[in-house]
Amino acid sequence: MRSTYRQAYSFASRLTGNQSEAEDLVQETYLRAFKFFHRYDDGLPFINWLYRIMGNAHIDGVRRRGRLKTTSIEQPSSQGTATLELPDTESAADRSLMEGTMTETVQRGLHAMNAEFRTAILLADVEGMAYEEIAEVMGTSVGTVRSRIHRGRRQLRTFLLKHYPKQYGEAN
Amino acid sequence: MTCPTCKAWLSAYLDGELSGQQMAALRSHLGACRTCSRELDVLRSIKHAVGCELDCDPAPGFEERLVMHVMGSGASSAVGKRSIFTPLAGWLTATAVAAAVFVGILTLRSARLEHEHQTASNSSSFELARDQAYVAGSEPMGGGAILPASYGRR
Repeated sequence: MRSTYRQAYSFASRLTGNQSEAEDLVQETYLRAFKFFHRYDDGLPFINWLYRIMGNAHIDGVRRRGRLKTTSIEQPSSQGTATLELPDTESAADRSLMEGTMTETVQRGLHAMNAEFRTAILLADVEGMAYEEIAEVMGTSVGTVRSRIHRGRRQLRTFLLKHYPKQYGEAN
Repeated sequence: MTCPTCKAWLSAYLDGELSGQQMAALRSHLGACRTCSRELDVLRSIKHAVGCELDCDPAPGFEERLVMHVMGSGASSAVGKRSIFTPLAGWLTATAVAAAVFVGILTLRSARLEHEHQTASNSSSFELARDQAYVAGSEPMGGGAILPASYGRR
């Protein structure tokens, strides 16, 4: 536990974007790992197994709380423009890990998307995992991982286009 | 290759997940299509932004709280129905054993490779010294010098 908790906390921070939620998620993850350690298959690296538990715990928590309504930003509203629902992060006492930075905007965009998409993207871009590894962690197929990452980045790109149109706009 | 196909493959291309043939086809299209080339640049900057280092250390004392939380919560599920100890002693014993095994396995895994390497290294040194003694004509079992006088000196 002591040798892996920092790495687990770092990943939880990116998943939740919030220090207290990250701590709760790490605690829940290790509790589940402790309880179900007899199911651990040492063919899978321990940290990958931990990420699998954490990803599932995070998604379960999101669905339970219903905080992140996953409105597809690809679907136009009745006015013909895409709408985007953002989570209410202002009310949390220790909300975002960053303030007023490009990175904060990216993190906000990450938290506006589907939890499965966010998990897949973070495993690829932060943890540097291959698609096959991500599929093993998330308990799904490589094709599903590829789709989640592709759609997640498209969602993130649309979100960033609003804040940084010159940087993320399309070429003419 | 069409632009929609190219755009659908760009994420996988960035992550090194395309086959050689797919990569060749995609690169050929990118060389001729400014729109898709721009799209690739955008996705690359997004991937980089997501992967940026964050200063996200846990609050002080988090490690201790984590251990206490896991051990404390795990105790309630570790109580057996037919314990030969008193309830409190059985509770603490089961929790301590389970937590020790859990942490011990994690520690042993990382130490195992290092130990195997060290053992192999020690074994090689011993065999080398033994062979040198044989060549020098020393009798290992006769109480004479095991190693040549020059051993260890350059």
